[in-house]
Amino acid sequence: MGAAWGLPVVLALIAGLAGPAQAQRTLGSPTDVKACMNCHEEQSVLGVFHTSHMVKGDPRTEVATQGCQNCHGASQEHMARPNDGGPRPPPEIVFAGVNASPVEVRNRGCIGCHEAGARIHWRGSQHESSDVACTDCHASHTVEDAVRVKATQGEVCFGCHAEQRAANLKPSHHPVAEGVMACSDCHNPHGSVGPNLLVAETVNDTCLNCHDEKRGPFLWEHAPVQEQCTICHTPHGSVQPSLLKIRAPYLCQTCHDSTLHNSQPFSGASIPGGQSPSRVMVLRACLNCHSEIHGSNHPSGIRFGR
Amino acid sequence: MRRFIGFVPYLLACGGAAAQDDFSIGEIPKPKDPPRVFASEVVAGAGYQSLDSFYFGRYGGVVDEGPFGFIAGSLNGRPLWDSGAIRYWEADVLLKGPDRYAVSAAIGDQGSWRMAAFHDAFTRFVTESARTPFDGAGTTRLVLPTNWNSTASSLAFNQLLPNLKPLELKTDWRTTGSTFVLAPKNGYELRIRMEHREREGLKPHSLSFGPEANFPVGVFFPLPIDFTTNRLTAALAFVGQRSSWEVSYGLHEFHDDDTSVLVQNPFARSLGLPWPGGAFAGFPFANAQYSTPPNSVAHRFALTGTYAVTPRTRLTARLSHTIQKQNEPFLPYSPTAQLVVRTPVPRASLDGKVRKTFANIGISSRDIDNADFTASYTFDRRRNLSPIDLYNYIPGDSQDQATPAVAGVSRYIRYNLPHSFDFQKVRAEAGYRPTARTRLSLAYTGDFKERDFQQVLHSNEHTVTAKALTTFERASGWISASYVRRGGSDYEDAVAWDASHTTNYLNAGPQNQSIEYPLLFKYYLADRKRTEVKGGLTFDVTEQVAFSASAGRARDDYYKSLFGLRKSRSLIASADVSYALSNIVTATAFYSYERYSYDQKGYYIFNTNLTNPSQEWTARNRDAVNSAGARVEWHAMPDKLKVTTLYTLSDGSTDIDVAATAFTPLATVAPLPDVIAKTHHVGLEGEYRFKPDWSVIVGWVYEDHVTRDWAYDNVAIAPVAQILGSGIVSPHYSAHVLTLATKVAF
Repeated sequence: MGAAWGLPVVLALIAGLAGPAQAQRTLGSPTDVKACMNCHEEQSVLGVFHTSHMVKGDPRTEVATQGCQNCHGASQEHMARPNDGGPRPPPEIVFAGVNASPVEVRNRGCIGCHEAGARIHWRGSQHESSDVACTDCHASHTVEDAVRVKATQGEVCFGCHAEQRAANLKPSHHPVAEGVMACSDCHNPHGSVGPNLLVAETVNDTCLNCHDEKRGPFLWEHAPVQEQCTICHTPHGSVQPSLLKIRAPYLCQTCHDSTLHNSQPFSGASIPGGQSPSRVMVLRACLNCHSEIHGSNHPSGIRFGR
Repeated sequence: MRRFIGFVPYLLACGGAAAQDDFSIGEIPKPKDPPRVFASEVVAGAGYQSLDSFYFGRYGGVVDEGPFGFIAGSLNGRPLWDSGAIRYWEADVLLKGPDRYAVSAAIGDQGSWRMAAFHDAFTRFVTESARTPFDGAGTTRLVLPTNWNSTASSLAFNQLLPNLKPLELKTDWRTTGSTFVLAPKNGYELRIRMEHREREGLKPHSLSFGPEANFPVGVFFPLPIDFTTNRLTAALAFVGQRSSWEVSYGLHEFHDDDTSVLVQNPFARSLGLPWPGGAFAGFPFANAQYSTPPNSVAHRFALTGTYAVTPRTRLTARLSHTIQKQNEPFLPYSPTAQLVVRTPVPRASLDGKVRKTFANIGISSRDIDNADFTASYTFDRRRNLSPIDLYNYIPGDSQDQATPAVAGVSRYIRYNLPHSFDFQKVRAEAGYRPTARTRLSLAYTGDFKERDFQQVLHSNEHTVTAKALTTFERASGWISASYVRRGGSDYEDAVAWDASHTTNYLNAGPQNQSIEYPLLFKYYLADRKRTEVKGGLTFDVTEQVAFSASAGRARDDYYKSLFGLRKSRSLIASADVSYALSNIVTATAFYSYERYSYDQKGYYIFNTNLTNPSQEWTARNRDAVNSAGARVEWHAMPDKLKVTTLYTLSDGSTDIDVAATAFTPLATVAPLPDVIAKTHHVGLEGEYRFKPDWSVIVGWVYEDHVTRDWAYDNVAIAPVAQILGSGIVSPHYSAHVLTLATKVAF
């Protein structure tokens, strides 16, 4: 059944291959960009001709109609031959290096076109107010923008987010480093109404995008589960099993201390070989019995054991 | 297998990182023929892996010793940029071993329409070391072998070892989807996205048998995963000069092919402890019917809008309403026919319904020179409208249903508590720029929460954050400090207890009052003070060398909690250095240190005395993690030979110190060994380019991992009398992977 969902698109793709698209081109000599191309022959620059930014048939792509100056400014001094033979001054708008323009100037050209859809909450977002430039993450001249490719996006994000980079190396982590999922599966770096730039409105809605078996509603709810998954879990990586903040039984004992078994101090005496080995200290700890901890729909499941 | 998977796609995606914005030139250029630019690449090859290990390839990797093949390709087709044509197509393919593959394709007329489809499959490998005595693994009926010899203690299961069968615990994830975007040139855009996901496999799970108060037993069993998710999102959007809006509908359907798993109780009918009416039910007739996740559906309607009051002031708003439903037929209180059930389940199904309302309005303004301002208000309501009923439950499929002389006077007769809440958040931030490259800001966030059925019904949290960031010619830095204070209504430990029991039960005697220790406050509800300081800097030491560092420290003080979590601390520090020598050598390295500490206190409720200092105990959990990495890219022969090396380390340990007064044998404590997880990963890759569009890549990956965990190490299938375990052992491996591939660009 699953494959049928994409069948119409695949058929359309096959039909489209017979259209005017061409995989290989040589660059022409457009008057509006020729001057730039005379010097800037690096592949990393010329790749822009293979991107959606450089499609003259699309009137929205002002780069194609107005040339490199659309993003880099008129740059008359840069274009002119230096009179004194000295170094050529940089373009008016520079996106990296020691001559980089202020972030707001750099972003202006991008935001002018890209402020709708997923970027609707860019202004005032954490990245915007932290002076992050669009080009800090995006490479607009390349065919494959690394931050938009699942396998390489993490490396881009980790370039600034060292804490998350280290977390993703821990034994329990979401498979970002493996390229199975991307940071943007959970976060919208361009701003959101949710906390921490999450793609959904709340933490739980974000988690339930994939872990929807925990949505319920269940007959027996575990209150913190409904309130926020991050009460118990740390999503970027943990040295504890299942992305837990603290390992059970200690995590459970931060909230549960009752006249039953869970008030006991568990220690090295409680593991196999100790003085009084406990079922609460081996394998899944408290979850050996309370395994439906995210909620149970069983009429006898009030203790999350069914 | 972590980094290896990303290696080839990384090469595909990084088509050169030369300084693309260095436009300075010193002499008049001469016209040249423009070089060829490649838009598509395919890497195909084969590898050999040195061992079988689920853990090595646990996230979509190769888990079997021996040869495997892989392909990674990215194809892009666009017309000549100045041809006037707008038709484009894209296709990507990834195939790695037998369990990881992904294909995607898209076609469209830029600015007009786009259709795309994808299929993504990977396997989440858990472990191959699990074992079970049950027959029927992978099905929903798990029975013990006919020669099973049951006892009251798992330590005496003399037919356990002969009947153990190996299990491969893994779950296949397969997702298929398509999107369609139609964008007529009048500012409107229609987007439709469909996604179908299947999860299939076995997961380690467990359940309990036996009465609650007298040594219930835990039994491991393989839980079949047969989940299907269907999602549909349809959105109509409009983008105008000053305003834009989007209205959308989302359908999210979850389906589980299974409704329950029947598990036979391997324990004998009695542990030797009397229970009202006699010993509890056990082998061979007692079964548990474990409920698998119920089918559910969610509908979401959302409206998002934005309006530019001025070119630099923007209003945003979002309003959504979500309906979540779940109506899976209830299972019986117990599937064991021998147990007496006089009161039926009150409903055939829950008829569960949750209504969620979310609203957010915000303003962001930079109208004042050198200043900016943002403010937002968020309302998040969850109304659980599921009906409340009395359930006379049977604990652990072990005893007859309670039949109290007075109605409702039983600890096993309980109301379900559908949780609802209202969360509100206000946030305001003002920023000032004394220079174009410096920003000072002050922000306030107020979180206000109202809940039902919980120990703190109203809470409020106030956060003040000050931040400064600045950029110089060669350096930039930032620092922020936050102070958070959470308070709220008095902690009432019996709220949930009282709400879930009958009035008759609560009034029947003081012994029926809340069993939670009244001085312990659940940490996510408790009053708290938090201080947090973070900062970072980057410094371009020379044109070739760059350095960056960041650090943060946070302290949580649950200052009203005498028991439970009382303090937590975190310290995180990282440093990065990069070196680039022209286009010949680029090198990066990083190191991170993290330390997390949690101090908690408990009270061992061993008797009726609730104020005996000798019954208090403390535990301190400390996680320390060292992470490091280095990557060197050496163009040994420019445009011909590139050598890349990669190394990462993750070295984590958990140290738990427990202190208690040994006033009973069960309160005697002893040191715990540290839990350790350490991974070294080394990668070496050489790419020789025979032609500009053809190269050969040779790769080698070595990964060494060790975990020491007292919860699994030296833990037998039957580690203690009340557990029938899984046999899962901590992972420990050293793996080599050799690969040979060719890359073609076009």
